[in-house]
Amino acid sequence: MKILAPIAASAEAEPLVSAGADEFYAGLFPRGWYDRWGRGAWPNRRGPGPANLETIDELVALAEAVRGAGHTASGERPELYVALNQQFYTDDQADFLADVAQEAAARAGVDAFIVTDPGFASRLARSSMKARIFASTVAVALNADSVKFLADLGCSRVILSRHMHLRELERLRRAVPEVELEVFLLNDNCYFEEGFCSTTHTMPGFGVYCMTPWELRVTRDDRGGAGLTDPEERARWDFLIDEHREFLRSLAHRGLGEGRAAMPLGPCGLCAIPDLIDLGIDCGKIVGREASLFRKLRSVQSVRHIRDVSVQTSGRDAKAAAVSLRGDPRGCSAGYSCYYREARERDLIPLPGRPRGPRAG
Amino acid sequence: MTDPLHVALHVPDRARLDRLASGDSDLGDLPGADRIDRLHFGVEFCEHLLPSSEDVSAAAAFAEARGWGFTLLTPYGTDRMVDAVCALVADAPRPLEVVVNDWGVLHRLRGLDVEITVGRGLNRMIRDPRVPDVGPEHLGGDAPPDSWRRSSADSSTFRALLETLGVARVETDVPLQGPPPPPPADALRTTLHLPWGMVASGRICLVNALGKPPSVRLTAPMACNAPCRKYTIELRAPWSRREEGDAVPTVKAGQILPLSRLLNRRRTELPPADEDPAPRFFQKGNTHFYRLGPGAITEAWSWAEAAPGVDRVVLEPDLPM
Repeated sequence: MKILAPIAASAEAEPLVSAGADEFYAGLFPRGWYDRWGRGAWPNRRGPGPANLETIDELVALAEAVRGAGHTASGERPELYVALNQQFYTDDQADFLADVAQEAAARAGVDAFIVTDPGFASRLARSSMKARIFASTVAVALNADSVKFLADLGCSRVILSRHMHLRELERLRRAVPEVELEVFLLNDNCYFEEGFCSTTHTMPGFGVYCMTPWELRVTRDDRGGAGLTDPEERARWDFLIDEHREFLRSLAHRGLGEGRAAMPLGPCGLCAIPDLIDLGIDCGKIVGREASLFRKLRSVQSVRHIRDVSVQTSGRDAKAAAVSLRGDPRGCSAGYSCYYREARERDLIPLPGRPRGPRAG
Repeated sequence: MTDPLHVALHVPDRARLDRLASGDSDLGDLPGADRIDRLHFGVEFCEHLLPSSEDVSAAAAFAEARGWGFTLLTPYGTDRMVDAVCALVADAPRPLEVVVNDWGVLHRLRGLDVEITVGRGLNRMIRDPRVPDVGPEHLGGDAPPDSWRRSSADSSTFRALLETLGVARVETDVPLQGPPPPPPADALRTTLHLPWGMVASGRICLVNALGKPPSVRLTAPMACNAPCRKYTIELRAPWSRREEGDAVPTVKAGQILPLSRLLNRRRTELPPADEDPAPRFFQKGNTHFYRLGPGAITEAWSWAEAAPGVDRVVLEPDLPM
């Protein structure tokens, strides 16, 4: 299983390859785009700033740095992909980005573009570019037929939904052996399915929609929309909403772990690495183009370490190493940060024995 | 002058179909309720709410008895769901329109004797309920972009792709920021849903988590007994509608809130909606919805009547889940 790392600056290439990255993905927010469509429309899923390069020249320099950063652990040249994965583009935006992609492929030798809109993916796949097309998670692939659909458009790799169970991945993998599959491993989760989230992250001051601190009124459909009157029912909902708040916190970065690695904490799939390797998943994604080099390095080092332990010893040793590395016993026992909660080994992590709410009955 | 809009009625499940059949159902004051000619049955956003084959047959029979067309709405989901949808479609009477919100379902149904429509889950657009309250001050001085009023179906390559796939119709919403600009002359045939629009959806479900063991709470459920059919969550926003100014304070770092304004909490009562400066939205199971108000419904209907390609409105008296 390859390690896909985010990259936003040339200086990051060599240390990340040394740490174990096999592939990189970057973003481009061209100045010409900003001049035409402003701050509210993004060409990919991150805004102007540290997550994105501004010019093709910068991308060329980055690509050269990646190619010059040495070989990966498997002796190959690291590859560079560029995200053009907004949910949809208007025709003039698509024309603009198609030209950008052509230039990026020709001048920077970009190996693949990560795309969401199927019309745009099909357009790029039919162009004369040598670059491959990958389907973003935002396209929403939860089943084998959606992978086949995207492959028919010309996508050679599909980045699967964040919200799948290992047994679902297993069935999907068996059904589409010919398509590369990529899954999320570290640093970013969405409360909703990203492709079915019609909100925008482009509004500073409003934050992220799924983190909106609502006031919630729960009503009963079988009582004509009346509110809750039973104290025990109210208490169950209060407990659940408390837990929901904890869950929302787990979707973002939560500081550093207690272990010696000072592991940056966030959504995590380290325990699942041995399972994902056994399933034949092609690539594990580390998220965070905007993150510090420290976070990127620790993330790559962690994934590589667990992957190596998986291959060299056993899956169980790898899971033990993951728990130790993360240094987050409370988070690991709650499971809210897990991409694949079922991958945890019960005796390696103290799982919650009973709910923290009122006793039943 | 364009032809009059066709009007469909959305019924999410068998229980509500039975109530409709018995006359115990109120369509409210939605426009066009007196000229319904199609039934939309099922749900778009949750694989666990897929109806049974028996329910689909009952719904199709209900529609046929009234001389209505019949449309089956289908959600997104895993391989197991795709198989289940295909089984439903195989058993369902013909003629049949199937609304798909999963590229995998579309892939499997291609070539079958059904009319495939791309649902509003796949016809991507900005339905962010905060957008009407966004101004240039939130965008560094930039005006809200035109793309906030457009959708996938506005893209010529998206339309061309659907044409090659044999899809001639898409479904859409009118977002809270107002109707989109008129579609192009070669727009796909379009169905508009009123008055509920989809904000966001996903497999992780707060309502499913109620009463479940810790190990499966707030993760994608492998099974569900549909507690969302019993509970609806009304969401009060922590910001004010734009025209109300800062009547509802947003949370700032370091701010100490009074107990009356604790956020992310259940409230037994909320202020009356028509007196409240804070917008309201709704969560049904795994999906958030907004509801167009009476004025916006009228505006959306007028847009639909004039827009090329828009030839059908789906009335949703209930939250469409």
